[in-house]
Amino acid sequence: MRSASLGEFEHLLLLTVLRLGADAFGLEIAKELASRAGRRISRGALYSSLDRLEQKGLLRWKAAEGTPLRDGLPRRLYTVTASGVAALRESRQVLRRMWRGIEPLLKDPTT
Amino acid sequence: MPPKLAQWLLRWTLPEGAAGDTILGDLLEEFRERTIDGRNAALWYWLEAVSVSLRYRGRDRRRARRHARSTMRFSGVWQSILSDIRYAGRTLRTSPVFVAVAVLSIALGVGANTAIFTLVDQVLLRQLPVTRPHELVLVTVRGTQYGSAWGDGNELSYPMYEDLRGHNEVFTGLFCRFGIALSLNAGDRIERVASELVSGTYFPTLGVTAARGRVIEPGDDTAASPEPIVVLSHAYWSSRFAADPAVVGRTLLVNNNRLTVIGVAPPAFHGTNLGNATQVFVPLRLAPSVVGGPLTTALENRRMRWLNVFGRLRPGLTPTQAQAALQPFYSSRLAFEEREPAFARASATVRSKFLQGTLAVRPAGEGKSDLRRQLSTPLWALMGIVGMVLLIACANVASLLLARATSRQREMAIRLAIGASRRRIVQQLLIESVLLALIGGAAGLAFAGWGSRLLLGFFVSADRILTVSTAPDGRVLAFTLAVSAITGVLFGLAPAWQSAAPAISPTLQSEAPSVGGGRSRLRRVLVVSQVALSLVLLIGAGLFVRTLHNLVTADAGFDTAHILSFTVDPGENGYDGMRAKQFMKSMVARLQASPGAVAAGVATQGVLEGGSWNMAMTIEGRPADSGQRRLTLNNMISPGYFNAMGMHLASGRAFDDRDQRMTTARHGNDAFRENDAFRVAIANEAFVKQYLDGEPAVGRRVGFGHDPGTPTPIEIVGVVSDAKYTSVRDAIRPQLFFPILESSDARNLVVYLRTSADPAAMVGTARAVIHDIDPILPLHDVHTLEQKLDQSLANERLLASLSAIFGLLATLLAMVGLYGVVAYMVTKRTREIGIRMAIGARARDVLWLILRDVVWIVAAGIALALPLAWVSTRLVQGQLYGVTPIDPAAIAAAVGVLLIVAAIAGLIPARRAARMNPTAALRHD
Repeated sequence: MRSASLGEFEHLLLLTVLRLGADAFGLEIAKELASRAGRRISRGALYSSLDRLEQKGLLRWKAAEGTPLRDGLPRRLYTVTASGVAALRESRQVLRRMWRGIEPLLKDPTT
Repeated sequence: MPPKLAQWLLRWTLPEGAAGDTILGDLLEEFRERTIDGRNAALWYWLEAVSVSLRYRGRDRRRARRHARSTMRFSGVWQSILSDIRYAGRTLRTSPVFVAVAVLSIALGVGANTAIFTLVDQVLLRQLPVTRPHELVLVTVRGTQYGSAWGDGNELSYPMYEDLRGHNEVFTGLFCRFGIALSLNAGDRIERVASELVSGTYFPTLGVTAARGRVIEPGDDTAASPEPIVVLSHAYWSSRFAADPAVVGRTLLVNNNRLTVIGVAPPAFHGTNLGNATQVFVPLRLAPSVVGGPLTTALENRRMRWLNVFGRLRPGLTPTQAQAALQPFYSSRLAFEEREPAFARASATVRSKFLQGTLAVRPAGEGKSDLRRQLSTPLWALMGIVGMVLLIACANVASLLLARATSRQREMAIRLAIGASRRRIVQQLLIESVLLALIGGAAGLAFAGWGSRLLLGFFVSADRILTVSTAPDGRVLAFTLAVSAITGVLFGLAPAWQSAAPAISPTLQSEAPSVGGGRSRLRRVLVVSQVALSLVLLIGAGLFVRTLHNLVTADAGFDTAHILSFTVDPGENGYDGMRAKQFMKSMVARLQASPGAVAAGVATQGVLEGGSWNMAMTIEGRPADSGQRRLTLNNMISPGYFNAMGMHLASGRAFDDRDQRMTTARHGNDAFRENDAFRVAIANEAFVKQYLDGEPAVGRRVGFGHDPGTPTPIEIVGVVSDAKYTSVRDAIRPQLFFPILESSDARNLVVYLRTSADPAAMVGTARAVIHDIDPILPLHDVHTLEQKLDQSLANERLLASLSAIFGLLATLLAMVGLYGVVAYMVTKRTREIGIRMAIGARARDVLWLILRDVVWIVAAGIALALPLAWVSTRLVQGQLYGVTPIDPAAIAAAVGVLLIVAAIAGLIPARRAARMNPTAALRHD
């Protein structure tokens, strides 16, 4: 089965969820994206991208208990699925293949 | 908390359950963090809420699916209806004869309904063009009156009106009015105008404001001396003064009083009495000076009831509540009145009856309408009649559709076979019939416009100013549209249901009998009901025609053929009592002497005009039983009156020069005292029979009033033959005549001139005589007595002619239906007839074979019609005269007409069957 290729933002989202691990709640994802990747996006864009990744089977979430600060409304705790990990891996390989040999041109090689 | 509206927006757009709640929670949490940080959280929340809503809008799958389904279903139905309409148009175009017959039937039915409804709507249903008419109520009184009453006897006195107004907890406004004809002189000529004397609260309570100048105001009631003012109706201002703005401020002579025009009422407002449109409004406070006579003291007189009192209910109150709230106060006022000196001579019975009087409050958004009361039953009866005509027309079209369905059986079978649902076919056929009905309805509107103009002609006369228009308005159009649509469904449903269920396979194999048994049974049922309905209408028409005939030929007690009548009021040119009596004497003398005249006489109350002057009398030596009153209808007449009317004396003498009082009498204001001036009277035969048991009347004495100890100063000097008084419908009641020349005044003189030739030819002579005596005094109400009689029978004539026309129309339609069914049976039984003829049946036998069916149908129709007629004619019993609702002659005539027409309708196809060539018939399939 050939997994769909990842867009750049999707790539970033999957990495963020992996990085946050057991803390990958919706709100934390947004904060992590902003602080680490410098990406401030509207909540509408955030949730629809997360929903899209869920539809592709790369992410899934389960409802976690809410806190008093949010009137007890549930939270989404995201995990990356096996296909999600596979898609990240493939994406990284593609990128690696593409980067090979052109790193000197950019002077600032990515590691 | 985040902005409510933004939260609501989110809840509306986000999916239900955890998926949406988690997002709501995230936004809420972040909103609170931001609030704590002191950043502008509300704006941020709004922006995020919009961004989320935009992403999620329509993404809820369930909602989306539901939406998609409903739009699809709707557009599917709409599509199918549109294509059905197109298809119906195409099929109808292929059978123009069928369409023409059907449309004509419907057009006649719908047109008749629309025409009658136009009148019903305007005469019976329309509310006054005032603010919130539903809040208006009419306050009337019930119970025994002690004193005099003008109108129905349910009116109030002016002091009582003021009492109610002062003690008012249930009305936001209260006003009173009195309708009267006044003479108006704008400088060029004197004419009579329909007027309302109104209280200052009249216009404000109705919420009617002036189109020009000002209207009469509450201040006009309270001013120390009433201002002499008058308000014109818009219609009168336009027709009499060509809508000249300068009329406001002008002075007019109203009953010889100088009144200043202060304003013009708005265009749609014609006063509070429909059918008698008001032309001028005069402040009630002016009644003593402008009208005078009995009204001179009417503003203080508690014994005179004359005013219609209208109130505007406080919001939320019902008339019944208002009535209950007012009754205790009213009773206390009656108790107060009963202690007044006027009751000094009243007996205990009279007093206790008087104290039992009650107040009634009823809705009056439509104002006060005598016309409405008069026309209510005739118009509803006509509405019922045209409703039946429409039903018959429907049955005809249904029958036609059934016949058509037979020829379309194959089409339906094919459609069913290739998968159409029965519902779908019924829908398509119904659309066809509704389309047909709408075309018929549109044609009907054209009929209706013409018909309602014709109708109005029946009851609009020169002296009845009517505010009914025949132009169809929104309400009438809506009515017609609704009636047409219902008609379409009504005649389309049964045929559609039947046609949608043919047996598919035999039909397609062309082996099915060409007629479904159910279908021809249904057609017979339709024809039987048509026959029944038309017979009911014919019986009704018979009753109304006989009523009219009875009234026209009724013996009124006077000679209607050769009498000219008109009204003159010397008061209009300022004559006082003495001069008026002089005027009358010389007028009668000159009229009598003019060539062509046989006799002339005057009465103060015209006959057959609906009005009356009635009093309770005391008869010397004949005390009435307790609680009973000796009521008589009275009239004041001049010498020569009986001769002029063709009435004859049974005993004693008529009035002559002895019976006059030509000295200047004190101007009597009190009705009681004025009546006491009479010294002599003449009774009619009914008086002698009812009150004197046939004993000689001449020499006996009577007196006005029925209190114990009432003096009886008036001597009966003669007895005259019986004659009708208020109308031809009335039974003859006891009457007394008094000499005008013994009363204090001679106003409103109704002159009767008996002629040797055509009375209409004497109008010029009469005018010349009056002109000679007083050049500006106008003649009003110039009629021959025959015309007057005609006019008084306008409603009866309307009912009789229209019910006859509609009855015949209905019968005609029913017979078309009957013919259709019989002709159809002949076709169906052609082969059978051929066989019968081949084996020796004679033409007569074949004729009978077919006619037998006709006889059955007609017999069933008659059997169905008789109980129906028995019930429905009872509803119009009040309109009948001299016939009972089950009048054998009317029923026999109706059945006779029906039989003749049915015989024609049946014989045509039956004879065709009898003349058939057996060989050809046998080959028929």
